[in-house]
Amino acid sequence: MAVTARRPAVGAQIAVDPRMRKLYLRRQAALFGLLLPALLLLLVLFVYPILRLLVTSVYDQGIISLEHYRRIVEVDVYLRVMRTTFTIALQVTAICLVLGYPLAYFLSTLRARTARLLLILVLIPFWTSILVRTYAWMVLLQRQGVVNRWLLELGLIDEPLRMMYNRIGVLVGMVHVLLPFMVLPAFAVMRGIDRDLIRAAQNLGATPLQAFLRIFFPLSLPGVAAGSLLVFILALGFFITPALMGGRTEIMIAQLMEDQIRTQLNFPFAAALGTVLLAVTLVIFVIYNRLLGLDKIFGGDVS
Amino acid sequence: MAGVQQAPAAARREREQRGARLELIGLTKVYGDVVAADQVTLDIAPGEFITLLGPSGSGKTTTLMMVAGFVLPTAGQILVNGEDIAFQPPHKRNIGMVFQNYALFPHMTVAENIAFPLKMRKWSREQIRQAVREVLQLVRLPGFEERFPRQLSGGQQQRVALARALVFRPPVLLMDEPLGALDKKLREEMQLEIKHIQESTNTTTIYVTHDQEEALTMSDRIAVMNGGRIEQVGTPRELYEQPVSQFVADFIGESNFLSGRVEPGDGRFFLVTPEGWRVSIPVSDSVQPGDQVSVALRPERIVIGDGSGDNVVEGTIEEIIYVGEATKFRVRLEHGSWLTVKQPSRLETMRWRRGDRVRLSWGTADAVIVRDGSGESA
Repeated sequence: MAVTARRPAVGAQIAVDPRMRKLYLRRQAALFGLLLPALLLLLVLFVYPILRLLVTSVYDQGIISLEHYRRIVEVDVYLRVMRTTFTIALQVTAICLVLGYPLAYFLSTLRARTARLLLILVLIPFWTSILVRTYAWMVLLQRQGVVNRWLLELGLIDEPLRMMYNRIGVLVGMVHVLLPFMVLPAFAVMRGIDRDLIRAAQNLGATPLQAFLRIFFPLSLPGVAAGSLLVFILALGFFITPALMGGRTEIMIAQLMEDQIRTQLNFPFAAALGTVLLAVTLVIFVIYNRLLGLDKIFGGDVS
Repeated sequence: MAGVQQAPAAARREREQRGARLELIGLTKVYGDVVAADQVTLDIAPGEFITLLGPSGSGKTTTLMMVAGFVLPTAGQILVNGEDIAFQPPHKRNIGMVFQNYALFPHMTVAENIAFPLKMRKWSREQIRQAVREVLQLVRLPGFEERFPRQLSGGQQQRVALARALVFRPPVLLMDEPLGALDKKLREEMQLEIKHIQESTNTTTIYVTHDQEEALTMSDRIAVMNGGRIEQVGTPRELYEQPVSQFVADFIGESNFLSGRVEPGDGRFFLVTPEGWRVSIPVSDSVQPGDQVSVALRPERIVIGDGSGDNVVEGTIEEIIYVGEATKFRVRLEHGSWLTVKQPSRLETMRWRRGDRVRLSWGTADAVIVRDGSGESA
């Protein structure tokens, strides 16, 4: 002890070699250089347009005003669209949860190789254009579509079901597109749960169901929350599916914006709508970050 | 420690509770064409601490998992106080288990972790509080109730895992390499502590490890496993002094092995190696003149430099390995074979240098006749 005590604190009297400092700075600069292309791209194509959007939304006929925001809150039809948008997003999230949780659980119990193989199946929809998939669903779900004909011929129904141009069509189409966003984070978190914990619970007297409810389920929640967050936020901004498969009561906020820009040429109002959507999304993110931490979304550790 | 004395009632209750007699009868597990556990048979007395010792893949963990109920045996029985539990699901077995990486529930505090088995057993809130406090004193972690596992050191997590496995007073405790993740000093400390707790609670314990020192330190008896089978069961001393096979003699401690034919001579037996070297070996009923046998000879039983003993050979020191409390010498004998000699590091043994010619000697009884190979020939 005496020997170490007499030694001066490291760094107290030792000056950094200037050559070393130069080397260090150069290495830092090189690392920053790697970041630069992405940073520039984001600034030009993302940050700048969003700022423009914000600015546009607070101008009314050349003067700064909150007129457009007032309209959103006061005009009945816009509020209704807002409500529809949130309701559909929530419904889609709930359905994805119900379908995705068991699937993710099943995948997480498989051996790594089998799980990877099946994950590819989950991901295949990812690699197909939304438009193509939406039209495919239209073929399946329309009045004379595959599903209706099949049900009719089996004698299960007497007349075709309405599954298009209404809520059912929108939900089917959106769930199909968004399901992987639920399954992937849930799977990543579940995969990280030590199966010995489940064994330990059973060893300590828990039935398999109790072990699941008290140990596995709580530990899988970060993944579920992450998946739900992704699905919900992506669903809020959906356009193609509700436009093609929805009825008159399934108009979502993105359609409203498109309408304002293309037919009404009311750019500031569309900008205000976009800003509201952005603000809501950010608020949800902040709440999520407070509760669980954003690093969990793409499968950080579970501890 | 003071903690234990504060709860004499608890200590008394723990001592009165008897561990169960545990019998494994012909326990076998076959995966495809791999026999992971091959007719494992063990009779474990109430309160006994028995270790399954063996290299990885020897079947020790499979055997433990069958007792815990996580692996279904292909054949065999597991009797706890005479009752076969082989077909019961894990949660009905009432057996405590400490997992390799502790398997503490990360989303629960220490108290909640320990209370888990009691909640499953529907103890009252007051009983649970009391039991958690007592068992935390037993493992010397009083006051840690509200911590989370990630806030604890490895050794502390280990104690919590032990507390959780013991709090519901199981008649049988299983431990799967529980000290593997700890550093050497802490491991040695925990070995003694686990042993003391096991003794004070009188819980029948099966302990799995590949660390022979750990097995020797802690166990009442050790079952050495190899290739799914039990090679030998015995007290630490029996296993070290009288290994039945080369595998056991090699796995527990170090051994020199000599093989050759048995020849009689003036009332004694000699082993004659292919090189023509004659070594006296103990007379035994199991050995006939003409038999091909192997003997194991512990390095520390060979004396260096002193000419007395039933067997004396000369050789040249080729290598000296200083390991602190002892020094090992690799000695090449005149006819070409090698012996490893281990001596306490005293001044007189440390004067030897590489290349020195030395005399080695040992007694007849120091050579132990063992089965060849890894037991297939038995």
